[in-house]
Amino acid sequence: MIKKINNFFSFILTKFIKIYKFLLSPFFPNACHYDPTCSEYFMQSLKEFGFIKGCFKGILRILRCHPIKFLGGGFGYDPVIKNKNK
Amino acid sequence: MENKNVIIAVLLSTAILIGWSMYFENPDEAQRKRLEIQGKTETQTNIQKPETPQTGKAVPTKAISRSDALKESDRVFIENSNLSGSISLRGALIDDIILKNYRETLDKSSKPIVVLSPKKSEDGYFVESGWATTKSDIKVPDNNSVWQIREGKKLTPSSPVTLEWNNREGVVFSKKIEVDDKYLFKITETIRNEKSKTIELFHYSQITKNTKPNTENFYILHEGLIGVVDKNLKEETYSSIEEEKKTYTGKSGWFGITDKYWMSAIIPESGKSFKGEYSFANSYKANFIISEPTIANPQKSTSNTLKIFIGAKEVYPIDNYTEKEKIDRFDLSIDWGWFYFITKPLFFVIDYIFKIVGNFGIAIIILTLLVRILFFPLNNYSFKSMAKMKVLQPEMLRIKELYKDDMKRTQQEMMALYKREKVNPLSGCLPILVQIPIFFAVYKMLFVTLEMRHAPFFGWIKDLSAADPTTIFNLFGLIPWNPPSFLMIGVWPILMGITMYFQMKLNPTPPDPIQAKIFAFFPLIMTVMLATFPSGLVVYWTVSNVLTMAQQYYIIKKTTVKTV
Repeated sequence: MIKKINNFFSFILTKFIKIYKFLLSPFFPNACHYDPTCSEYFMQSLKEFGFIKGCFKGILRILRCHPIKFLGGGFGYDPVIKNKNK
Repeated sequence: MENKNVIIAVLLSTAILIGWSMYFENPDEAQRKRLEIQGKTETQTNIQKPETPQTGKAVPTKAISRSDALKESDRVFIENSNLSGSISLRGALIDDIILKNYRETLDKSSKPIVVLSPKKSEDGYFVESGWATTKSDIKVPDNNSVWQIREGKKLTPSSPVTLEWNNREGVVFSKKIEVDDKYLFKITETIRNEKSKTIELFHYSQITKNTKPNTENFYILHEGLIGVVDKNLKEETYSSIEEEKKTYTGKSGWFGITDKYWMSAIIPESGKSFKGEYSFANSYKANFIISEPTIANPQKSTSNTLKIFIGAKEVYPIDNYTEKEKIDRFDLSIDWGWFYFITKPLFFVIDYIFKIVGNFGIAIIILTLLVRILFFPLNNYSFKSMAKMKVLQPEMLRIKELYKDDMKRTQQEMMALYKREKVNPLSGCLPILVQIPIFFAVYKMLFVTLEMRHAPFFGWIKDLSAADPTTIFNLFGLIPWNPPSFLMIGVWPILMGITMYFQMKLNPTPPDPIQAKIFAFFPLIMTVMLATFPSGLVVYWTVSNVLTMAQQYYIIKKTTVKTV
């Protein structure tokens, strides 16, 4: 049951991110430092880790996506590490 | 593909919904019909319980004009530098308040804004206060009791007025009414018990509004019933109250009925717990009743105080009341929204600029410019890195392909590539996401500010808070024809559409064909939508587009990337 609810939330959030990618993000310059981009990363980690952990990982990624190095900013290739417990 | 269909379906249905409600359904008419039906079916109950301080027994069968209604009873006049009006001695109702400094239309000789009107007039809207009993063994004043003036003649900031009503059974009720120079009334209600037994009464106050005003009906702005109970904002729309009444209990707060710019609110004596209610039965009501009875011992008097706000939601006076009068979270009466911590400071900035330049339109442009300058470094770098990344794209794909099965190796190679090419992207998703609420806040701030009302810009824009009055369908006034409102697409909205089109041209076309099509239509859709919006917002949007464009153009020109 909990898993179902989890999946449902993940589904909804994934849709929102897709809408964002489709309608909003073209208005902004391509800013993401990473590959895959933050939104792709977010969706992948939702799929890989479920709603709560996936959100957590996704938000952490966005928080890393800025130019100030000593505050954790970075760039480059940074894929979602596959969940081994799955 | 499936997702795209979903998105298109959502977009289309939203467009249809908006279109339908804009052109076909006249919300006021539907509302009026509903009211009529409800008025017929609703049976008035009048219970003398403290839970329902309903003193408005019968609703006037036939509405009379405001001026006739004003003549129906003797009055005490009210005057300060912002308000004028009167209190009806019948019922001691505050039912006639005019805001002297605000006009209905741009015409300086047009009528001043009427906030409160007598209950018998069509747009009856009044504030009452008084006492409720549990046992109905004490005669309490109601809406028809005729009060006597005991002290004072005219209510001004320097001269309070005291009204009195004797129930002829040994209890004398009095009200000392004071007003400040802005919009706040203070009423001290006293019960003088001349009987030999103790009496217990419950103090209440109520705002009644007979008709629902023409609301802006816009989702980012609240109009209707509003209040704060123990620091929590309680907002209900007129239509939700028609369906279901709402009750609240608390220890501190206030209740009121608000328009976009004007509001009336009642504030219980601080430190006393109360029960508040929003209800609808022929008229909209917001009220509270103090939970603990006020006890008057034999041959003693006792009193209760109440504050009433009636006026314009000007930021500084409202903040002042919140702090000095200790009205709990009264600042929430201005709908700053979720991002109030950005919206409100922005207001102080634009207000400052406005006071220097003296034209609100120019103030909007300067503010837009300031926000842009603030974010320029961020956007500048991100445009730069975007251009660089684009050039490196094939190389990156090659690396990915080459080390497909070795994730670590891919990462190392990528890093090496970035280092070699000195790509140091300087914006990122976080700064972009931080900007979104700020742009929304500018928009919201412009939407709610009273200062924008009747503020002129240049040429044909005489009121920044109203839609652009020109329209392309009569060639901006060249043809003597007044098109229906949905064809009112003015000069500024068109300018907005054009600038938006060119700004979007500067961005790379989205790879997906459907997405590209939607984007091609976007400026057109936005033009039609924004045509009905306050012109100040359209000016803001246009200027913002031009600035983005200039910035993007500058960077594209400047950034030349050398390939290896």
